Amino acid sequence: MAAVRAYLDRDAFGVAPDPALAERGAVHLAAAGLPGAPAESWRHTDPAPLLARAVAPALPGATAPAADVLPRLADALRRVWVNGQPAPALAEGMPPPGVRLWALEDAADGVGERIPPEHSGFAALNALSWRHGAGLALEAGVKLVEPVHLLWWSQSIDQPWDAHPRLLLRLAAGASATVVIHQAGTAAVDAFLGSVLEVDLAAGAALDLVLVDQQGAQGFALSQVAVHGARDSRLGLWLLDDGAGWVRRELELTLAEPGATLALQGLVRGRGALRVDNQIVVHHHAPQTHSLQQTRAVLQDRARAVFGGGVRVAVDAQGITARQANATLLLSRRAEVITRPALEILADEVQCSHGASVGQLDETALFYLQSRGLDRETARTLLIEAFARAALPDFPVPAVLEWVFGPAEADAFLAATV
Amino acid sequence: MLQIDNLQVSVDDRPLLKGLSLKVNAGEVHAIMGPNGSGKSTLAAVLAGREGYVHTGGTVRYRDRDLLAMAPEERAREGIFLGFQYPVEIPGVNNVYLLKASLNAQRRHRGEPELDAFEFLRLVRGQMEMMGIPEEFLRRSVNEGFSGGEKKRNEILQMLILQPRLAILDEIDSGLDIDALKVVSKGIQAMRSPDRAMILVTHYQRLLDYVSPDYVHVLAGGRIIRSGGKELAHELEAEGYEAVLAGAAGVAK
Repeated sequence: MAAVRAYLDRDAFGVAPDPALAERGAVHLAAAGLPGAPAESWRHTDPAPLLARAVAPALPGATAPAADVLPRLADALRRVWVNGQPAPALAEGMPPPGVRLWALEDAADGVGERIPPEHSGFAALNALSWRHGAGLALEAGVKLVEPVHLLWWSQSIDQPWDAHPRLLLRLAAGASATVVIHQAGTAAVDAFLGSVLEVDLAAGAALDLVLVDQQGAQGFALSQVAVHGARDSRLGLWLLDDGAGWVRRELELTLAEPGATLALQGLVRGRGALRVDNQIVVHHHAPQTHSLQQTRAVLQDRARAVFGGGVRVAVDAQGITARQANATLLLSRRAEVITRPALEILADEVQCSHGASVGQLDETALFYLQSRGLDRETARTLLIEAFARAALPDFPVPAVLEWVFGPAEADAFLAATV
Repeated sequence: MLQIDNLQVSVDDRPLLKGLSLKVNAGEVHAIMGPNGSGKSTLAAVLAGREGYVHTGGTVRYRDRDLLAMAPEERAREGIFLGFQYPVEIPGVNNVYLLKASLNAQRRHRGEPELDAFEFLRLVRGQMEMMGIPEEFLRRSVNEGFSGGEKKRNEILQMLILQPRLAILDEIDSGLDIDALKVVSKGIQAMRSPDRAMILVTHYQRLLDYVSPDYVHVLAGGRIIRSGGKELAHELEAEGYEAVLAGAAGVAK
């Protein structure tokens, strides 16, 4: 395959932060290639546009954006990469004692443990091609109050480029943190971000993890995420899509020991030709583990969202609960949603449920609001936004919602429950 | 205030109003009664501007303007209020926000300054007390999870805050127990004024024990077939619609 050869030729071995990992990546990539449409999990997303553009793309040059155009969270520990290159001048905040936040290329121990190069073609590509990334480690019992904001900012340059972020989050026993991994940029950036995120939650650790994608129409983003949750760990995971490009996430979320929980909430706000494909697999490896997946989509124009919601329950994982729900608002005839729950249950005493609904705006509700003096467009916007916000109850970093929705009238919406 | 002449309205080529005429002056309370399917709710919806009804003939003048040419929100801002038979649940939208947005849309339209949060809350609290609505209602989604009685009280609360010129209450009494009916009636009574008109669409005479109308009209087959004073409501209650309909000459079936 041309794309594979181009990547192999370009990313000469030895310059990678972890040469051994890179070599394993090269070997696997050469042998397995990059996955495509025949694979079941790729059935609804055509990788051809991504593979076609990836032939010998440039490694990007870094250009510093003005600091005031970048999204910013108050009091956050912020680290910024511009076109995949670190931009230390834009960093903000110093980690408090017990917290380490570092450039992963400086110390890459443990990279590849949860997502080895042999995991998939794209995992191999990242192992071969990653040059920069971030590591966050919390010592036992440390509660990090300030959110960590990892911003991968894309700026247009005169040629297509790609970058392969690598991220590692490790929370020791009883530690807690909030992390926002944010891919955004100026419009019309022809870029591919192929990232890998590995997360380890030790016993009793709690992580609120927000993954935001707001890339432009020419942007491609493919993220592979693996989370390993030990006993009584808690993962809150929010997936927010508000871009116009091509997004795919492959999430392997493992509840490895009793008491581990996952609450996932997702919102796709799709316009233009946005393609979002979230392939989620929750592994219940132990008894008394609990997962909840609630996703919503609001789709206009030709936008398309795919939710692959997998739940796999191991043979001795008794007493687990796994719930999935998707609701979609289709605002255009050409918009499309595909939801595919996939349950594989080997234990006997489990409670699993899934549900999906698709609808249009409620005309009666529109009329009700109009009859109270709101014009139709305001009423429409209000109903759409209320539906979308209801996808994200208990959102941990409310300021992030302003990036997505714009500043709301302070009292218009409730922190609604689904 | 409102002058309806020979109004004809269809849905899917099926005529629902077949030449309805009605004149409502400021200060008057009109009750419109009639059996199921007679066109009562259609009339209320058409006056408020609901989509899906095809106007096939006749005229509706509201304060010397062609009402049917106005968008629903413009009618609202010009002082028409429809109390819904089934108030709509709007998950995620704050009840207090809707009240404020409605009132300020009306005030902007009339060239009046918008109320700030403090003035608005003072206004709302007084009216909520009268309607027996607890403060926490304000922070809930519009009508979501409200009981039938709570929804109707919320409609009246909206009316009290918007102070419409013409209030059309569509079966505001349905689904209410006697206590809730008294509270709702109190709200309606408080709105009676020489410069305001009200149309009460109702199935039963019960509401009219608490809100005494100036006129009662019987709607059947898409037309008003009899009009009278409040004693007509008692006659209907005593004898039933069948008898009154049979007695009315020339009813279009």
